[in-house]
Amino acid sequence: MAAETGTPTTLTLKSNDDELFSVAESAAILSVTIRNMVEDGCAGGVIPLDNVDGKTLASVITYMNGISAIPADEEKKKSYRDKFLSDKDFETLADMVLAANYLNMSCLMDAVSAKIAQVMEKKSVGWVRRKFGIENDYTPEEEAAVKEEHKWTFEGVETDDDN
Amino acid sequence: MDNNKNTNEKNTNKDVISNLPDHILHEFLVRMPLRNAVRTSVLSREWRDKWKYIQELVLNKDSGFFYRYHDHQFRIYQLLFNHRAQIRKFSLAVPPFMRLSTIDLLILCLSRNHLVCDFTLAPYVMDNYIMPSHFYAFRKLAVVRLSRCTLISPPQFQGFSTLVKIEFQEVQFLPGAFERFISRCPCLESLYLSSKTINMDSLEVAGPSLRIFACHGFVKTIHFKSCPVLAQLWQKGWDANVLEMIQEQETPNPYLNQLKKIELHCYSGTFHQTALLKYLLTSATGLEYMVIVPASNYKPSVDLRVQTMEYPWASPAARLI
Repeated sequence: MAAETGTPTTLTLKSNDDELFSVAESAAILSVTIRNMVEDGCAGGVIPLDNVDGKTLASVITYMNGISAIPADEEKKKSYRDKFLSDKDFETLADMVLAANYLNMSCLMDAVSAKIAQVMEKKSVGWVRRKFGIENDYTPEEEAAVKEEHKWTFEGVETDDDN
Repeated sequence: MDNNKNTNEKNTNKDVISNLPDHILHEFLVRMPLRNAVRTSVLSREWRDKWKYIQELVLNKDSGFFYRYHDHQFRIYQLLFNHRAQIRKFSLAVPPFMRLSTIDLLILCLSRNHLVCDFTLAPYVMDNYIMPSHFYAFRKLAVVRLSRCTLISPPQFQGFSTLVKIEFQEVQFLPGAFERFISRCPCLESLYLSSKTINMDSLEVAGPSLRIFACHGFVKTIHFKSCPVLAQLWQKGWDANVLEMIQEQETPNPYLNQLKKIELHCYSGTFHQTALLKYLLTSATGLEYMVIVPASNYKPSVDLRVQTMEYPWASPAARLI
């Protein structure tokens, strides 16, 4: 797993479970956190990323490489992002949003947040609870009261309860 | 039995979303229609108040807020009383039958208790809404989009010192008031004006930071005054025969030498349009792109491209697209 550190344009990133990854500096600096380290000259050796595990970091690097290979064309970037996120389950998305936050990568943060919002918004309350494992700790009376308070949010809603 | 227990355990362990930091949950909540964000309060006790801390409120039909036309006033007040965070972005598309005094009150509330950076207001089509004076007290305003209203700034108006982007659609000013308004927005970078109904005789465009100027509609004369960094210019006419842009200033205009991209739409080769085109080409020494979209009914006697290429071009590197 040892990576080349010789060339000036390649960085080595280390996940919190000690996996090493090589990535082109031009792609890695999509992360403001990494860019700052590079600018401060702290990126010479291995860059430890204490809040990101290997599996997530591998995904993030795939994204960095993919998106930075596309020239300035918002349409193409968007379709890449959509395709990249289409097969990710929620747990992976949650890991990625935390990683994007830690790495300060606004484009990934935007894309993942929008994807999660999109998943949540079309579904019923029950579906969201089941899917995300949210425990309903309201008493039936309390729940009815909250629903009554925000009655308008249930008007004309068709939710999709599949899977 | 075992199976049941497993599922339960799995469920409690799996609540990844509620354990995410609040600022990340807010990222999700602001990206869904307001209706769905508010509805998350039913999920569990922990979720009850989460939506109340989002900093963006978008009230329009898409956000589900005006789904049925009953008592908007009450719902808006209820929403604002429930909501607890500083509002940074506020957008309201006013539905029919909403009292204009409600908008006044909302703007008052936003100016007193919040630091709005991004403000959008589109009153209902039939209203002629005069922006209340409290609007001019939005000290942190960076982006403003207004439709169908009239701006009469109070004499004590100091300007929006942080405003970078203006989009005005069918916004009316008293004569000279527009120029005074933008002269008090020193950071303004993008200015979009459009109007199908308002005839403006003349318009002065100035701004030390102005980079993009787009104008759709009927303006007879546009004067480019001090706009040293203007890089993009769009001109679209709703009806090419009405549009006349005349330049009566020194040629070449030194304020246009940073202009990189020009788009002229609905071009129909009228005297004034041709004069404008020549004027821009002579002034824009740094031009990179020139886009001319002919009006659909325009049949030039000479090929437009050939003709345009024959005019004197100040910029050697420019391309006609």
